[in-house]
Amino acid sequence: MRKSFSIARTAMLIVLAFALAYASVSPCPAAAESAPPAAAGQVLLLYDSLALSTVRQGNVETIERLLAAYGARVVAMAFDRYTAGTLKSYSRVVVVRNAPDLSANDTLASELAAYDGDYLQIGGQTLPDRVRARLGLKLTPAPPDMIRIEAGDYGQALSTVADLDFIAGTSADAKRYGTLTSMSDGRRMPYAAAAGGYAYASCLSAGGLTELALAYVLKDWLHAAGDFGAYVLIKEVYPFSDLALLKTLADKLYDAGVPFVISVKPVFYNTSYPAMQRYLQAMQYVQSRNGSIIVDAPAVAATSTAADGSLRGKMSGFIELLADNGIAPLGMGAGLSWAYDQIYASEGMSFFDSVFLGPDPQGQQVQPGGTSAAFAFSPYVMPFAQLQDFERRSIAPHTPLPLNLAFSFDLFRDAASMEDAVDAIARSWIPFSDLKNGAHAVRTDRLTVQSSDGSLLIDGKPLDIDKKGREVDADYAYTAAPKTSFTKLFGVQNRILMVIIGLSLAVFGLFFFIGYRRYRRKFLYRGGSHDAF
Amino acid sequence: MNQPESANTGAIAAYLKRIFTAATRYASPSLLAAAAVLAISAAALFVKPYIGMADNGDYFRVLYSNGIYFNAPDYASQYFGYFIKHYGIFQYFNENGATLSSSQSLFIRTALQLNIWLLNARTFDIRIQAAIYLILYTVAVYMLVEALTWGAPAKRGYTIASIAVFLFGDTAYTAYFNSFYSEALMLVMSLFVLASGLLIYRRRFNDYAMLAVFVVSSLLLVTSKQQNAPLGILIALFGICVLLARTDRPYRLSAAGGLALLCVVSIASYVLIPQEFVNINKYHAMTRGVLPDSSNPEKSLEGMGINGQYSLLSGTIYYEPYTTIDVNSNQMLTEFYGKFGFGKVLAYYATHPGQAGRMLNLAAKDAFTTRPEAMGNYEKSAGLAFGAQTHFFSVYSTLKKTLTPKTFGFIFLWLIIVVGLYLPSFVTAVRTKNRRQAVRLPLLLMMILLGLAGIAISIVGAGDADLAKHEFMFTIAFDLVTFTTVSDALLGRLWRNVPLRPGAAPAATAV
Repeated sequence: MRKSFSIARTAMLIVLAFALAYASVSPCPAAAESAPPAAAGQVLLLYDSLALSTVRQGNVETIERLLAAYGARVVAMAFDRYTAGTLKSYSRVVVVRNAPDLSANDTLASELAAYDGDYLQIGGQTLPDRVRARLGLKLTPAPPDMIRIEAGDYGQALSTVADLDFIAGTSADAKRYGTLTSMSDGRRMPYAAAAGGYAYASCLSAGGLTELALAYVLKDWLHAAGDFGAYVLIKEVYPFSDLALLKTLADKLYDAGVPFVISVKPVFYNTSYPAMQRYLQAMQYVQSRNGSIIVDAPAVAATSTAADGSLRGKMSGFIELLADNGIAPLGMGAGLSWAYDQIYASEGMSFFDSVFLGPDPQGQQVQPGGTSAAFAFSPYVMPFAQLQDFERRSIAPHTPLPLNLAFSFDLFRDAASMEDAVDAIARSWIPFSDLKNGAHAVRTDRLTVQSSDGSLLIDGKPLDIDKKGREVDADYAYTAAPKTSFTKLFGVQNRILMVIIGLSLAVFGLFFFIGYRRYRRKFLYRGGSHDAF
Repeated sequence: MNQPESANTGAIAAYLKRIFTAATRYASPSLLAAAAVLAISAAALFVKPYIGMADNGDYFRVLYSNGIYFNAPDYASQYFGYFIKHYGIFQYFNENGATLSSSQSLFIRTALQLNIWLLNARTFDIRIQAAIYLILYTVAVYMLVEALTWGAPAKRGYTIASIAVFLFGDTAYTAYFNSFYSEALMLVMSLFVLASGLLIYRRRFNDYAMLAVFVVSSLLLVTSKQQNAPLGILIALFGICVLLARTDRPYRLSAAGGLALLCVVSIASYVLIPQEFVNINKYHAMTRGVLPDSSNPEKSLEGMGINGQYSLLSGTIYYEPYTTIDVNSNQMLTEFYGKFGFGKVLAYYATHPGQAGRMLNLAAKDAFTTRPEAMGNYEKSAGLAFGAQTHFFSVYSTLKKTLTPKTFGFIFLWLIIVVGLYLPSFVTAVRTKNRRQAVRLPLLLMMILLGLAGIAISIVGAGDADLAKHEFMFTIAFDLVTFTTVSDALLGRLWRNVPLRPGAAPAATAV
């Protein structure tokens, strides 16, 4: 038993080694992986509802993040906020239909009917005639049943999706994507179809395989070219985290040959404290173990306002602090809401051309903007646990990824969960990419941090990642000694005064004693006769 | 000076004397003081440009649960900067539960109902609430001045009345009425507590009525803010002197019942403090109290069982716009807030007296600031700068802030002087077994201790964060006690017993 396990493990490691070797020698992958995707331009995203409290909840945010992964600037708008003539300004429009009972108003319906740009619709039976005709789309309501979806190398069973429509037929030249299989009757239908700038996908739910399935559609619809990579992203790394565990994780991943990215929380105050030195040392160690560093977005207080104006200085200060300590941040990690906030985008994200956008449904904004910020490199962040929910159709993935994908973990709370995760990463057979193999740049007013072909550069000078950082000062002075002057003089003066006061007290005591004696003597009866009375 | 000029001066003096005589005939010093405070405050609060207080982020806690919401589209951008007078009234089921229990809600709800009846069912005008507070405040000022000037010579009585107007008409105080801060209620109720206590001491009005005012205002004061919860114990303790002012059973039973109720409410109020509120205060107790002045913050944290890495939070505030960690995160709940309580902070200061002394001195720096600098007083429409503050009728608060020595030593000296000045009359009252006369010093000592407790609670409970606002109790106590002392000094009543109204109430001289 043990022998068979060890053989399987050895075989797995050999395949993994081959996969990694392939990844590292494949022609110019780095440049391709992180090259700016084809200019997707601006996309208008229209939705009938956010589908709150349904299985589709979160799918609008998902499509926003998917579009962001292709470098598209997105303007998201609910049907009822649509103003006449808006469509004319866009060459691409995505329509998300979550509720069949909510229809577009007359203005929007007529403008959609006349719209001649690229069009993608997710769900729903009502489509512009031209789109329906070009796709030769025949839709049929899906039975209220379990559905199995297959896309790329993965499959997943979906629980009953209300108001789902199958694609029963398409035109001959329409490209089909993925499959949806009805579990009751075994009917297999394409998940999506596309032809000539028009596309239709059956559904999209956050947190499922439909995310990946739709990405294949979007890749073609947006004409995104190039090879895409998969990344391991470790999030929730705080200066208060178990930094020893972080170092152990770096060792484990290094030993497993898995390059990884850690998203570190920025620190804006007390950056000279020993605690900060330990945090920086941990980052330096991670960097030396083939880890890449990105800066996570700071937490935002509910009372933050646009007038605060401190974000730019804080973020650039932290980037420069890292660079001064031999750490090269290559990008930023943030929730999607950051890309839609004018202040965050201009003051917090403008330093970076690479941003990992994750979900944040409760994101706090200070100045919401209409259009999202776009970035040259913006991997789609998916929790690794989500990938583990997918069924693999083969041992090792062979279908190229449709987009840059970052599989995320929150920094582990204990060694056991870390071991499990590293093991799961190794068993995923995914050839993970090294962020620093791509071209990324972070620019502040004072310096530029870059990566290229596996090298890290600060202001054009190569960074020695094995260089040891500053030792933690065990005698750090937290409180500044108060400023003093003429200390010696006042010290002498104090002593003189103390002697004078001491002498005075002694003399006073003496006089007091003498006076008391004399006072007592005045009334003291010394014996003798009382005759005088 | 030539003759016609001299004649003119004489005429003016005679004219002024006539006015004074007429005034004394129709308005007592207390009535005049109350009327003047009412007029000045009304001019500040209800005449353009309206004076109020900007929201520092605290309003939502008390507003939403009371059926009011922020309806200004740019509300968030006006935090700290501008006073806002209009709010929306929920037109549907209010799903917001109470985030804190405060007696302030009584006044907000009353104002809300009046607003709906008299003005508008959709928009709440905060000036309705200001009007309620102002009416109560006017009564409180009347009672306080009456307690001090009753039976006093007219000239000195009016001098004291004008001092009262100078102190209590100051807009640094009254601007709170146009706000949702509980300081407005604290101000009004503190005046009622002292005034009713002094009126019992002077047997000016019906003792039962005054006892009721004393107990009710103490209850409202104690429950106005979580920070004030421990103050109920102090009031109940010193209130025993008020209880002893009379010997008849019904009075003593009423007083004992009231004081016992105060104790219970005080404890309940402390127990019911919401966790979020506790966490905010814990955060500040550590990051703005223990850590910044510690010679080794990591050791200080580790001494309380907290990861030393949290020393990086030293000096930061809970409302920091951009921070390393979400202050409401689970990680903070388990690794930071969950590791210590206020007892540990108190024990820390007890074992680090040097640091405690420095904190007290730091607290003293803000103890004489009535108007917090962080919040603006004007509406945005007034066209003034973000955070602009009013100077209208603010001489006293400005002088106090500028001229008072800002050390804890001065506060200690003030305490010694006040107690020293009143001690002889207290000793005499005790020696002569005149219990009613013995009420005055404990009453003033109670006010002083309420103020000092305010400082101690601020430091232990929230470090130096927002000290000017947290030390409001001391600010009021200082002004009330100083005003009483100055008044008694002017009337020559410091050392000797004050004349009481001969009444039918049982003499409190019997043992």
